[in-house]
Amino acid sequence: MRTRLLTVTAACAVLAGLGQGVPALAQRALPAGGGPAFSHFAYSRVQVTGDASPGALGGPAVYTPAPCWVEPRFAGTNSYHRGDPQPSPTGDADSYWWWFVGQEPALAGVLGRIQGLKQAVNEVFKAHQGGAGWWWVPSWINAGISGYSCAWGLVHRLNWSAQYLEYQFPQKGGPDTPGHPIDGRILADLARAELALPAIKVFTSPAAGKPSDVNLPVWVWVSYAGPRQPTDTASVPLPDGTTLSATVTTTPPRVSVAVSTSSARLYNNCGATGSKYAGNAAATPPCGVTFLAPSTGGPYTITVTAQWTVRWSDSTGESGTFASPPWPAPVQAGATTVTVREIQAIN
Amino acid sequence: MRVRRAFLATAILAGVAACGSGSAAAFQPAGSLSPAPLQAPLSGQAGQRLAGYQFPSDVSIDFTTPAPADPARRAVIDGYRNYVLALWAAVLSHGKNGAYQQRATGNALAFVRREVARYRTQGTTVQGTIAYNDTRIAGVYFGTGADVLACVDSSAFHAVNTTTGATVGPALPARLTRYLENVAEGKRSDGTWFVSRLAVYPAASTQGARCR
Repeated sequence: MRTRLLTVTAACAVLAGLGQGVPALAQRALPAGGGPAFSHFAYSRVQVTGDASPGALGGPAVYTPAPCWVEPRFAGTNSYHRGDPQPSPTGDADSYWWWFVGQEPALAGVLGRIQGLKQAVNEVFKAHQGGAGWWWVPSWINAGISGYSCAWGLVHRLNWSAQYLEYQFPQKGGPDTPGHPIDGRILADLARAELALPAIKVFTSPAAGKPSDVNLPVWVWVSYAGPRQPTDTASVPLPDGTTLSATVTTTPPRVSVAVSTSSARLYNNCGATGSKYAGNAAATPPCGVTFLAPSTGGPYTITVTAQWTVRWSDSTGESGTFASPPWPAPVQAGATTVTVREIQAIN
Repeated sequence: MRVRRAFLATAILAGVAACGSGSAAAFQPAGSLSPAPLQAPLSGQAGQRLAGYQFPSDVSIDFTTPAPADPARRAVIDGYRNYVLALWAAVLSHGKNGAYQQRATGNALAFVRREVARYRTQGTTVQGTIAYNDTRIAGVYFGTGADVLACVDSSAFHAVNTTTGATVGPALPARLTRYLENVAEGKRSDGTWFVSRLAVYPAASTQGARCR
């Protein structure tokens, strides 16, 4: 124990002293990039495909779960190869260890030239070469700084033997796995955060800009600027050649109408698209409103909302929904105004 | 021999980990191995002190948001405030006050060093009031990482000529007259927090809009 502590202390002393020499690495512009193939996820191989909007993750309120996780990157058969280390995000775990310390010196801890360090690190990776485990690495959402803060917390909470790289048994999700490893739920959260619900455009009859009359039904319908039932999938390749994925799906939207006055009769049997006026002025629309008083205080506002139910399922058979809150309600809304006149009696 | 070498390897890796994590030994971002805990005032008024450094009476670093009542969250805010005080102590002392080395690492440390260098080479110092408003914790992750936001108002903070005392311009670049500061913090094994990463967003930007 004494030997270990002395070794640690000596290493720290050298590392701390040499830490003054690495500011150039620390001065990189923020937010941190994640190397090749990474964009909005740092040091991750997660891909989101389908009806997705990657920019959505840039909003601070869009993603409420912890914005970091650990991801399996290398199989035990890719722990070490002759000639290591050759710092690289790919290749093997040994090379990744050295590459990452150059990318994130603050997260990795200060590191400098220590006699025998390369050989010592190589020993660790050599010892696992060919093993059945996987090497896990931290990854995070690359928007703002919260992902990095999260990764810091996670890495230091896990207290991995190689600090930001750990050799553990393969895991493919499942409930309550320790260490916040990527699983179907995390992938589902990422897919949900990026899910692009289509904007809606509201139509009425009488059309917008034309006045309506008291007791005359206003028909309401909508169009969607995109797939009516959007879906997207987040997936991550695993070291064994398989893929872990989660797909988020939506039900057909339910459209509803609200107005800015209580002097109205609403028809909220709107389905997914509302009811387009078909030429029968005497008919009651399934979706629309009849105003019972003129809009003497200014035009009435008709607000139309489309609401979806969003579910997820993953490649291991797990599934679930997204509670609101914390997730924002899966809705899109549009509005229009209408001036309502008093009907003039004709004698 | 094989066992001994493996032990050495593990120990060195553990040592690296310990240096960074603060779990086996207190993490020292870039300086000495045994920093004494630094006591700093949390309210920025004239005459504030930091680690033996007395701020000039014409400099005020104002933290206008009350500290959280919860001790754990207060410690996170303290980590940020202490970093801010250390930053300006370093600038005002022209680098002689080195408290920042225990308060920052990563690009936050680089930011302090750049500011110190800027004021050292230009023969200028800072004067006036800089206010840190609406400071809040955006998230605490796994108990050891945190994310803090603050709106910084440097409109009354000026660069002045150290010889003549004449104002020569804003203390910070013009685009940072008002800005959102976002820092990542890490927790040491002694329970104190330090800034590990820094990002600034001018109030004119989308991200910094809340600070307009």
